[in-house]
Amino acid sequence: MSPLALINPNDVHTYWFILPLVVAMSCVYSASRVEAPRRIAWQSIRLGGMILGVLAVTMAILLMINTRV
Amino acid sequence: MTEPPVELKNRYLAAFLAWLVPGLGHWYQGRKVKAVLYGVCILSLFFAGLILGDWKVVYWRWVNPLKNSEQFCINYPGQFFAGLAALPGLLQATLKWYGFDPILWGYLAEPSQNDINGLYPRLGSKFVEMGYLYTTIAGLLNILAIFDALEGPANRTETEAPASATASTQAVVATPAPGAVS
Repeated sequence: MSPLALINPNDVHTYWFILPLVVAMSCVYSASRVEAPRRIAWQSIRLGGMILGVLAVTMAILLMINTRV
Repeated sequence: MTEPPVELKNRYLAAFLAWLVPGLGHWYQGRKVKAVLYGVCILSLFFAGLILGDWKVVYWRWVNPLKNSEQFCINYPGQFFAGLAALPGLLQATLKWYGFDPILWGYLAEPSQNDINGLYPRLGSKFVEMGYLYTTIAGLLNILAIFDALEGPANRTETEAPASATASTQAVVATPAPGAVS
């Protein structure tokens, strides 16, 4: 039986799906830039934070535009 | 912080192994932390996508993309770079083309049209779309890992020697610590 049968898709907010993508992209991209593990960790945390920040700001701007139209 | 020296060994073999199993090329080069990082991130994203799509979002069809764009599997060129995990899709499509039955218990075989049509009502568009997205992004991220195995880290400083183009082992010189006599 698929594990998805235990989950109602309507109960999972769409935005939760962004997190695994952001984590994976930040870690892999940072690892491809530098070699030292500590630098990889710091760069991936910074990059992940930047991505989420840009997404949040973009969403805020779009919501502002939406309520004024 | 001084970057540790990168020994690329046979970089073409390392790149091939990095495609075959994400992280394997780096393990071959002795870069074990990166190997585990790439392997865990890429493969977990790929298999999470497969599970979200009920194992029916990764498959290939041998159709002409110009003449039959609706049937063309546009995601598979990205998913292909996940390596061995996605390769059976190509194999199953080739077997179907020549009239053979699927192998490997139908793993990544093209689902029937009924199954494809039933995915969205059964799972919800959220899960299916995320399944396609996760598996494709996982494959594309492995391209970065393959280049890392081939060339070393992108932010290598100018004082480091370029990676060897031959099969001989060659250590890349690390950046000397500040104040050190070179």
